Amino acid sequence: MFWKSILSSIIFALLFAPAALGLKWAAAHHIVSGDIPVRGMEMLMGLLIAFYGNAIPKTLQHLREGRSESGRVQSLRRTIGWLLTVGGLGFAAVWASAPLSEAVGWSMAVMGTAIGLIVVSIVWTHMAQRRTGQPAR
Amino acid sequence: MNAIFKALADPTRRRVLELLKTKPMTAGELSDHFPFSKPTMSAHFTVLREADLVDVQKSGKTVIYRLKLSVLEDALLGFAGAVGVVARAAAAPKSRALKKGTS
Repeated sequence: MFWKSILSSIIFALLFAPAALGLKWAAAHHIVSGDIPVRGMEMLMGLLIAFYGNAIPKTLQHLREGRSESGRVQSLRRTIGWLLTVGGLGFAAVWASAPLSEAVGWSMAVMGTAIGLIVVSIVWTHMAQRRTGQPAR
Repeated sequence: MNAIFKALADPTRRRVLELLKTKPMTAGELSDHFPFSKPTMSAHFTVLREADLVDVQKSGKTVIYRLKLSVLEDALLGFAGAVGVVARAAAAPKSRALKKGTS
């Protein structure tokens, strides 16, 4: 699992660096317009967030805690996964379609909303754990 | 991907996944929700396990099933459920008409 995670990170790094260099080179030689390198890299960033968000609910830990507790953690992971995936796709969609001057604000608003909702859901789950007397993890 | 579509195509397996969304359950607890024999349910569990949609852990004599859906698979489950409902609704008037025609 650890090596798989390292390997996927290395693959993404190998994908990102040539993509950034290639887009910069293409823009410098007027093959693509000047805003494409920025848009392209930000879109890749959004898709990367969506990719990792998609995998979050699938990663399970050993069933040490009670089953209802495990269900709550699983539900939290699903919520976080959905929010990051939708947020990442929204981020990429904004950078693909919005005017460059507005894309920064809108993309930050999309990701900020997703992260805010993640924080709320973590706090909510933590409070539910405390109400039922289960130890917080 | 084919194994995932195969697993999600069946309404019983979709219902199992929906039940596991609430909390991890034992094979017996899951089987209690269905009018099928244990071997039939066991076959459904095997399909879900082979598609990597559920995680299985043994705790003593009991087997505990946990949901193991990515966001994409979760969305596919919802989509398959919606299509299944629409397909059943579309098929219902036809089957009623066929019954009337034969009676």
